Amino acid sequence: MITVKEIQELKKDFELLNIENITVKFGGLKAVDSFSLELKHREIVGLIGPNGAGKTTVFNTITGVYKPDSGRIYFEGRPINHLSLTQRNNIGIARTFQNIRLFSSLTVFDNIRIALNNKVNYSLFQVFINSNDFKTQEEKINDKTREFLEIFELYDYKDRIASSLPYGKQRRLEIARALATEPKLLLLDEPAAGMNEKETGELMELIKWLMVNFDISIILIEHDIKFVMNLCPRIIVLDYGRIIAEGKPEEIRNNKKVIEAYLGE
Amino acid sequence: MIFFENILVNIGIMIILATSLNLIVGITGILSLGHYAFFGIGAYSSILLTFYLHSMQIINYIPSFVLFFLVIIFGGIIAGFFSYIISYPVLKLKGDYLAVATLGFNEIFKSLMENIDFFGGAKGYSLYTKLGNTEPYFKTNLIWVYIFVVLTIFIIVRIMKSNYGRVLLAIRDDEIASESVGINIAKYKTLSFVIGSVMAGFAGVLFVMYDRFYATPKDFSFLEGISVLLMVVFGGLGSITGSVIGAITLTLILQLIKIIPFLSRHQILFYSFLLILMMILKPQGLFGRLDTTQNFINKIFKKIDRKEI
Ligand SMILES: Nc1ncnc2c1ncn2[C@@H]1O[C@H](COP(=O)(O)OP(=O)(O)O)[C@@H](O)[C@H]1O
Ligand SMILES: [Mg+2]
Repeated sequence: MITVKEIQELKKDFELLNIENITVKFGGLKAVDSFSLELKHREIVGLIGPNGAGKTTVFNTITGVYKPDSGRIYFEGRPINHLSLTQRNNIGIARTFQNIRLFSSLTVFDNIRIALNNKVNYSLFQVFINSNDFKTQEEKINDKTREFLEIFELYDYKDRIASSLPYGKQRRLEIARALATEPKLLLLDEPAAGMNEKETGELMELIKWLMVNFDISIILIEHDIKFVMNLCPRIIVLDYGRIIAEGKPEEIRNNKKVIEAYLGE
Repeated sequence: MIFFENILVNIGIMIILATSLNLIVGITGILSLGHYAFFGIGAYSSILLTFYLHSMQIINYIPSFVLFFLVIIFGGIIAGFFSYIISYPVLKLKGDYLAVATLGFNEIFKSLMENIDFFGGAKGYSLYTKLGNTEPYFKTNLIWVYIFVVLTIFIIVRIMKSNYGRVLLAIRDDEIASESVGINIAKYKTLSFVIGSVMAGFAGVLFVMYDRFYATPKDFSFLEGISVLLMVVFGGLGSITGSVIGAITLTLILQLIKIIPFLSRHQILFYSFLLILMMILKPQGLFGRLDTTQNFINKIFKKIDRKEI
């Protein structure tokens, strides 16, 4: 539901995501300092920078975990500063977490089914009487879940408890779970962290495949520079909360400020 | 015979209380210590309503079993109403803060009952005396108790087979992750809390309308309620079978210690001992899944650290 106030504040020339000068402070520390970004439909952007540069904080602000101290965020032209995490997912923003946050005591299958929670509209009463509508909707959810697990090559693990999966598979499951909410924007926070070389290669193929087959835009935070350069035609470099460079991979690679920031780490 | 009926009625009421508390604490992860307040609200509302039904002579027109059914439902609705009211401020709190707030609510309920003459004050409200030392036209029996035992278990089991149940477990596991997949956690927590409290209200009616027809504030204090929490933890947080077995076993044990004077004088000591013993021997509870419930206990006592996101 969009309010009148929001309609008045709609942005005229907008992309999928417009971030205008957001600043996020923790006490005296500016974790993010006047950060701006325009992200186009079906674009993939890399966000890199040394540890503590403020990358995760940018994600937390886009998804609504934190509210920015100043600046505005628009999604499809609509101001979203006041929306909660839940509401932002409902309008099409999904994410993974740097420290994996699966539903760790539940099965792989249920982790995906839960992400499909907004696809059902049966009432509790229909659940109690086991109505046909309830049964068909559950069937649909199960089919969809199977589909997702097959795409992500996790179907063989469907009955495993999420926390018992190997690390790389947990990361994959978290991406699958985010995509199951049918987002327009996917935020991946260090998806390759803790993966071995083979898993990292597979993940790269998977992301390429997603960009072709899903109608989504991606912002990718990753420490593995090769990984980012390989996937993202545009890269943004953060240091101490500020953007110090932005451009094509080869421009970033030769940028003095970037080299300094990384050498300083 | 009456002795056995007594025990079976007791067990039934405890099963309703334990499974409904498990829905709130074990399945949804809301560490509520105020369950006995809703048990009490059900009890008080039913004896008050019953008194008015008697004074209105309505009993001459409507069969008593219909009236009693309505009284039980009424007790549940009133308990549900109050749980809905307090859910708004209370469910915003996390972990230990929520525990303290719900405990506070329970004690407020108790002291209100103690201090308002309309409810009989500290000595309680005796329907029996009010009716001129006679029993009301309808009362709890084994059949009524077990109809509601079956209904309670049925409702929870069905919930767990649906999207509603999955979402509750998700909220228990990780609230931030739940929000990130679009779950309206306030809505589902409220739902779980209110449904569980309605069931506690039913239990309250069945309890007070069995052979007592008499409610005192002391019956519904937080301390009395500890035994139910014990049953839930004993059976395994999140396990319905566990709560049923926990309710049966602990009711029998508690019945037994009532016979032994030393133990009955030091019930709280005994509870604590039992709880500690269990935490050492089988921390995940009888039926709790091995690697999950313990994580969950750790989590429940820990506030969400937003820095870790
Ligand atoms: N919730 C918080 N409270 C206080 N400081 C925080 C919080 N979250 C992040 N920070 C600080 O903000 C800075 C940026 O952190 P973060 O965004 O996690 O960096 P990155 O993801 O680039 O490694 C760090 O100095 C970090 O300690
Ligand atoms: Mg980070």
